Amino acid sequence: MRLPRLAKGTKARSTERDASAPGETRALYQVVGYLLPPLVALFIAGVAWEIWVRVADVPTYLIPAPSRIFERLFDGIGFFVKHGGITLGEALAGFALGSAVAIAGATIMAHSRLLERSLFPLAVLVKVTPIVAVAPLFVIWFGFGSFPKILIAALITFFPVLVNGLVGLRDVRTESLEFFRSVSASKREVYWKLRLPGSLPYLFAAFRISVPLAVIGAVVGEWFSGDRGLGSVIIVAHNNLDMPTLFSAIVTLAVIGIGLTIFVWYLERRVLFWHESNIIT
Amino acid sequence: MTTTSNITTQGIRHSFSTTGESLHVLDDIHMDIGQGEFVSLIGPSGSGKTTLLRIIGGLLSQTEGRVSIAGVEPVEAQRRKDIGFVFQDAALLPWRTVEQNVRLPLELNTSSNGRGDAELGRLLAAVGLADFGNYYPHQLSGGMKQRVALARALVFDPSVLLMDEPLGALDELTRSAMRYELLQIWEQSRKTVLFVTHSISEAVLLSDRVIVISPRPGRIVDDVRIELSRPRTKEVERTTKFLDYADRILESLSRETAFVSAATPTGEGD
Ligand SMILES: Nc1ncnc2c1ncn2[C@@H]1O[C@H](COP(=O)(O)OP(=O)(O)OP(=O)(O)O)[C@@H](O)[C@H]1O
Ligand SMILES: [Mg+2]
Repeated sequence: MRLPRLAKGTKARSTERDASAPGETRALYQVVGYLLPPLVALFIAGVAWEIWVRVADVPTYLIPAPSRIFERLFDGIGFFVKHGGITLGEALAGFALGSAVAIAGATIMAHSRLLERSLFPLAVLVKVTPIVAVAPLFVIWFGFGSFPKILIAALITFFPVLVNGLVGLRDVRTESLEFFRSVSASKREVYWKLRLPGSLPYLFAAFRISVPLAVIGAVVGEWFSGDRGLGSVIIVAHNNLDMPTLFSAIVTLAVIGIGLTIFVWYLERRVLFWHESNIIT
Repeated sequence: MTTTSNITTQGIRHSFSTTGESLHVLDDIHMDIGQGEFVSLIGPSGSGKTTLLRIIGGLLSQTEGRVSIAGVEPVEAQRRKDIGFVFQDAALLPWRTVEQNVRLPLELNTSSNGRGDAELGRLLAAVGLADFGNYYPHQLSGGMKQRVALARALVFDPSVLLMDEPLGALDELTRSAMRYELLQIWEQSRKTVLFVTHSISEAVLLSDRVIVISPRPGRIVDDVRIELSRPRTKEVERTTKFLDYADRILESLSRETAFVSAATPTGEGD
């Protein structure tokens, strides 16, 4: 009987089920309450845009009407799903790679000030180098496949995770550390049972930042090479002044970004149910 | 009480050297604590009680002097799982349930004497948390958290229990209830307890001996044997004998720190 559900706030186990039903309804209202105003605003903006384009007779090769964009999007839904999927895959692979390397790096640096002082400036160097500047290089080095895109996404993901991971791994309560020492726990045990779980709130804060960044990285990579993914769709559409396709690609990217953000948020709620940020609601 | 001593310290002296300056915290501490004895340490804030406890528990090495726990050095005793620690702040892991927190020491260093689930259940029952094994720390009250910390310290069945103001963060009612619970648990297990507190009445109620520490650098200024019959009940707190002990300890404390008596006329520190 290991129920992380209990964490949701109600203390008495017997009343939990009864209490959860109105609780869920309330949560639903809350979500609707969050989503409705921006959706309405978006809808009004879309309608205004549509009217403006029609009344002012703006040419489609400059700004297409929303109706044209959605027409293109739904006609070619398979096309956008396919390329969106490629971009999403590259972004996720890059995110995973960048995060893994960053967490490994943070682990090393958290255990040695000397290594921190020698490696951290290198990480800063990687961070301050504009990604657009290195992207063409990666294409030359790693060819036209997915790999250079994944690498760019990884590179852009790396820094926020490294910095937060480092702070998170170091942010351990002295008393917890003393307790682990008092039962003569090894460094490895302190890491796996205390430091790493304790750093999760920091890591999730970084993930929230780097997940959308990874998508940017993948798109930038696609600009420079290959004929797959939304980045290359955008470049091709741009060359052809095919605005409806270009805008549709942008909408697809926005959907991917929103989806990923919601997913990370959901995951955070599940994993960090014990953290202050999730307890007070 | 048997006469074999469990904790002995000889001439412990400790200085912290931070930023070049040296801070003399403990001076010439001699103690001899018998097997199964309940000893309280009381003294003004900053007198080095926590430091002494950390030295005895093997978390800090003293500048001078010797400590032995059941005949061995603290670090060795720690390795043998012979020391249980309870801190002022329960310091539970918030991502683990009560049961998983109590089990934690067993998961570390898997070589040592493991306890079965039945025993874990009995331990939780002993601290009155039988029904809360699946709760998370944020779902517990302060008193419950301290009970989890106590269970966690007892999970290896150590012979020595070091407690640093374990009830300090609790409100007065919970605190007084927890005292009696602690007494009950202790009476069943008869561990050697070294208990730091700021409350004189708490020290008298719980202890076989109360050791009074002077302001920094901390020295032992009094060592009062509390000869009140056990098991101790609420009534004992109103006996003249009890009040005499409390008076004597307050006296010893006041002699060293003029402001203590002025600040705490009721004899309750902090
Ligand atoms: N790690 C440390 N480094 C430097 N100085 C320290 C350290 N730990 C404690 N001290 C100093 O040692 C002195 C005694 O501290 P200690 O925590 O042992 O006091 P205490 O008797 O437990 O006080 P309290 O009753 O307030 O808990 C204090 O002056 C404190 O500033
Ligand atoms: Mg202290």
